[in-house]
Amino acid sequence: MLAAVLAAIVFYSFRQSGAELQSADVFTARYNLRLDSFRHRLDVLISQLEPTGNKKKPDIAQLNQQYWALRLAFKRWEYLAEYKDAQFVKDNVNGVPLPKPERNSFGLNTVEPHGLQVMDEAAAEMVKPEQRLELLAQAKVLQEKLNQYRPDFRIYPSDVFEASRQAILRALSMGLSAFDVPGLGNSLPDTREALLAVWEDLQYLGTIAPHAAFLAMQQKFPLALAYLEQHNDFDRFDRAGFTRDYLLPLYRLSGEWHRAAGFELPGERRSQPVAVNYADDAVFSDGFLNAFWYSQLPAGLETPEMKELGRLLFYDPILSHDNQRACSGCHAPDKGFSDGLPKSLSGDRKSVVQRNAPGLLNCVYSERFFHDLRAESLIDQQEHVISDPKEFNTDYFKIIEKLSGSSVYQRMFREAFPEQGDAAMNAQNLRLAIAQYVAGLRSFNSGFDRWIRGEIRDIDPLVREGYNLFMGKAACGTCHFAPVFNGTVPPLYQETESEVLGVTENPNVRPLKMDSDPGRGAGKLKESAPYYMHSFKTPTVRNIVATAPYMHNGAYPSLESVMDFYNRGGGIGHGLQVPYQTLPSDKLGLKKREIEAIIAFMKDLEDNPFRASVPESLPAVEAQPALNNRKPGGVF
Amino acid sequence: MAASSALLTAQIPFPVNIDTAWTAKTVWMPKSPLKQQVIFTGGVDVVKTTATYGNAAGQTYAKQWHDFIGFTPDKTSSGDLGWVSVNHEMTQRNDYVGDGGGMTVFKLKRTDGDKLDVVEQTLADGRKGKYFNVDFANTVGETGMNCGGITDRASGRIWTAEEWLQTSNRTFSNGGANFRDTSNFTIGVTAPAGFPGFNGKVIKRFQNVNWMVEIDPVNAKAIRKQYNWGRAGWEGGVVLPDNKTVFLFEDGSPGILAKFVAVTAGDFTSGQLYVYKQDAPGKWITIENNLDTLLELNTVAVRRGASMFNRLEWGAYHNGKVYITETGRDQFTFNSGNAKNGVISKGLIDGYKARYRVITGNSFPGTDAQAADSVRNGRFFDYYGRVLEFDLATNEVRSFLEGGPFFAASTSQVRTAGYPMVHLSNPDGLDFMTIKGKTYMIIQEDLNGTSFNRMPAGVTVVCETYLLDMNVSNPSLADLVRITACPPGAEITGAIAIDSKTMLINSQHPAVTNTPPYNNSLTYAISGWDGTPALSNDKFFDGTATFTVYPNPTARELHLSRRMDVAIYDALGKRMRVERDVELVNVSDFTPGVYFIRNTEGETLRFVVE
Repeated sequence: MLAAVLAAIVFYSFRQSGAELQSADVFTARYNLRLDSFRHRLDVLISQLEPTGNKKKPDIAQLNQQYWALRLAFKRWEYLAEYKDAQFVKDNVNGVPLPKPERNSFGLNTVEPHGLQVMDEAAAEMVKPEQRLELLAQAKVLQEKLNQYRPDFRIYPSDVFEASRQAILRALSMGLSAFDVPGLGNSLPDTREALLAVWEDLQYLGTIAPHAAFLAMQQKFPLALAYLEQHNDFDRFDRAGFTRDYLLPLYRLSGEWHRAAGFELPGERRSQPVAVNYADDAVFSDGFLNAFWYSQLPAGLETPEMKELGRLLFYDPILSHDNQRACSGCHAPDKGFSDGLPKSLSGDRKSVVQRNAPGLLNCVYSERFFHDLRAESLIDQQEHVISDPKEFNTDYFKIIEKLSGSSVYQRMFREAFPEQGDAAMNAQNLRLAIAQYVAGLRSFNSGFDRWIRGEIRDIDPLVREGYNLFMGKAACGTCHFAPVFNGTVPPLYQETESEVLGVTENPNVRPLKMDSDPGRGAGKLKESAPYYMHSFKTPTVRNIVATAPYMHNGAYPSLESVMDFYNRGGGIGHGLQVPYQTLPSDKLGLKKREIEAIIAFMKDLEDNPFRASVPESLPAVEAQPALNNRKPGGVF
Repeated sequence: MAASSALLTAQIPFPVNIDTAWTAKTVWMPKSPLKQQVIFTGGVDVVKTTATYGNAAGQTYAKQWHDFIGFTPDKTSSGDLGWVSVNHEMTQRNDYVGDGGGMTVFKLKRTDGDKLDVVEQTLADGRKGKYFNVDFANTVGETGMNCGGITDRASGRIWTAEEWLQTSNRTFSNGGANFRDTSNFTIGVTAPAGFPGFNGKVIKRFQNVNWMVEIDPVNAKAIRKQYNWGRAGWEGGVVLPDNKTVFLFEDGSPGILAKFVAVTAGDFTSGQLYVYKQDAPGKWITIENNLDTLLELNTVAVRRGASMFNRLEWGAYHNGKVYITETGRDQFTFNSGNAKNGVISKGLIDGYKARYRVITGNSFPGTDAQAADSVRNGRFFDYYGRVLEFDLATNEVRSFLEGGPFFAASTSQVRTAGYPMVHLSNPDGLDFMTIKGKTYMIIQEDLNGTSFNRMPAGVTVVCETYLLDMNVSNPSLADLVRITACPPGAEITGAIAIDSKTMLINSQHPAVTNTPPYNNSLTYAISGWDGTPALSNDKFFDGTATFTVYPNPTARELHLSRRMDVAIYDALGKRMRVERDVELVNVSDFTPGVYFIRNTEGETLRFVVE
């Protein structure tokens, strides 16, 4: 009897094991079918665009229809394709329509943009014969690349789960904001199609791994799809409500279901960490992105001892050559870790430094640092400040020499790096401790965060409208990506973007002049490209209310002045010559109330729990008593 | 309720927890015969500097971005091995070591067993310490982006190469952030020996980079910029055993292959420079020893119809042949501007035809000239690159080993059988090493991307190192043996065998989450090669009839007898890793202990990592 039961269980488990492998066959076959369909739609469009020789006028309505069919076919294929080979899709199929330096090259070589986003700009003007020819030429380039593409993989349930969450993030941050349709502008049908493919695959998973979370999804997912179908007005779409009521719950359910079903989790599939913390189910939260991925610091180093050491060093002017200036001098906790000046005062107190001091709250969520993106990590970033003649004007050797004269610092270094003993006080650990402190300046508990997470019921309707505009009509969200609202690109959040805006030298001085700062174009040697001239890092708008004045040169005193600049179409919109401006140059057409709403939303994103971090006193330096009257935070 | 949740977990082939008591068979993963040792860490180790830019001689932290490693034997004291020279591939203003890139040198000694020590030294100029900055600023002028270089195996002479061809003082200097000095440079004023024939000539400051530069590692000083070898995007080179002939490889697209032949063995200050042109009588065209020509070597050579390569990197000599890596480039054309004058190298024609076969399933039907036209017009997407072989007897070049995951049954629309275990992409570093009497080629990757199957889908960038037994005739990718002894995620460069026991490797920008010092650029030694078992892909499987594995202690891999899905469990039976559609499992980051490996049939083997 027992044997029979055991046999039955074994049989059942084998049958179900088979079901999992069978599901991989199904997902893989679906993937290839979607690819075939995408290829087929491309072939059809090409055949329709191909000049026929006769004088008959082309049927524009039919061409538009073919183009839309191509987009939808792409969107069905996109979510697993992006998940499996994001680089292929970005390089060849749906990359940003801007030139960029060739990756890993031997010199500065430019890769011209190709793919669907370039095609979209041409398709928006389908009536023009030259745009139809451009569309045809671009379609053929895409066709050739797709012919080289050989998907060699199988798709397993765990892939579908993880990819589904990426797809939800893509919808939330890019799909609803028309990120990848620079020409036609309405991305809501695309977004629906992408989610539809996700739902098709999740439903199949539901047949082999039923679970409560799947049952909840069966309620939610069709409603989300129906909502997208019924609300197709891009400018009026309620992104805040849709995100709160559908996308975020679906993101959470997908994760819950994945874990409960027992399929392997991403950490079991790859040895390299990624930026998105899969275990966290809330997108608008501190746990969503893995700060250690960005800070390049080992997670095990974040001990209380290490944090305290980093905090003291951040506020200690001993780091500067004259023992007068600390990091906090330009990054003050009561000003969102900026300094309220257009440009910070130099160490000599006569001149100013090159650019505006950025706020540091949530700055860790970035792949690159400084307005010109020249530093690759918070660890590397410090050296520029320490050695700059206008800033700390010193070097690590001199700093360590001074710190070595303090028994308190000696002890704190030993405690922060216990395995290194007396050797712990060194430049490497100094860098790590300061980077650790800055990386710890994170907060995701603004009113808007708590509302969208569902923790509070009510929100000011103006803030809600502000988010909808920010992520929609005003197009802020196409560069300030949710949920950090900075230039770190979803859904992987591993790459930081910069933009050419055409910022003026002074918006109040006529005639207007473009700011001459070359920005990224003179940041890293390998990026000294014409299209990076005057390009600057996209900072977060979280806590932005505390960090006025704005832009890399601090020339914009208020959020109103910044909104006015964007509303008019950046530098070009102001009549300036801005080659390679990445901001759309047409006016946004925002009304006064709409601007107020966007500002209300940004103000609502204020959340700074670190205001009272300045230490009361600093460690004594027995070897140099003259240093003992230095003030926490330094003197300015 | 409990029953239903039990059923739920039973539905998957790799449950989160398994009962390990039933495991019958144990496989042993012996200790790796290889040992890693960090010997030089950028940003942490201190280099001794000379008086520079008005600053007194002293010390500072070493630069980062390690690339090429040169090795100069020096056995003056017992146990001494020699001097190691490390390139810094960067440009950065530095008050003490000099602006731009640079090099660091240090002397190595082997103590008991395989352990290496960096030995304290006193140099002729009075500097005392372990690591020394090579003085360029006060000798031949600063260098930048020091990438590859040359170790002359016979004499131990070292040259460093500077990639990233500079075209103006503005970008070169970058407002002083890279190089502070943009004044004209007069050749031979500061270099101790000067350079006959070039002394006194004045060039723009940016024109004083992108030369091969000879250094003296024992005195930590540069000797001369090799003006007579021409200025180009040099990446690597090789001195032939005659001690007269030097081959030079340009990392450009089009890149050129050059040859310098000295009048007198060992004296590279006078001789004749040539550039390879496969369709010329004698295959080489001569280049006059004229500074204006030499300053623009690539332009002149291509204008004269030189053979055009697609990013040559490093090379080494073996058995009458020179082997060179050609790293490839996703997209390129040679049909406009000056490139119209050059000829498409045979290696690219070979590569195009091989790729054509993969994509279409058919052999390329046309002539070589037609294949060359396709390459010229941008029809060749050179995702993987190749290793070239230059035959000194015939002066012919060919593709020796095409990179790529080449699928056995590639037809246009049929899903391939699976991802090949070996996928050589964008080869970069190249050297030879003799292990237990057998010669192996060491090939290092430097990936241009991960798409097009350069890495298995979903895997982040891992630049791998492969060994190839040079006794294999007509080698294919299947003959490459992967070695994985490096920090995860690191881009590894500069592999050089310093003897039969030890290989030195640079890790340029390691994975972000490695613990210190592994998050800095570092040079480390992998020792114990003389104790490795046979380095081959031959497998001696151990296991049950349906599920067999072969542990490779050197590569730290478990090889599976066929492509399959497997899960790894820890000693308590908790699932820790699931590998799909694989032929091997990399266990290089597993701590010693007991693990279990299970297949989709539910069969489990125990394996012990020693």
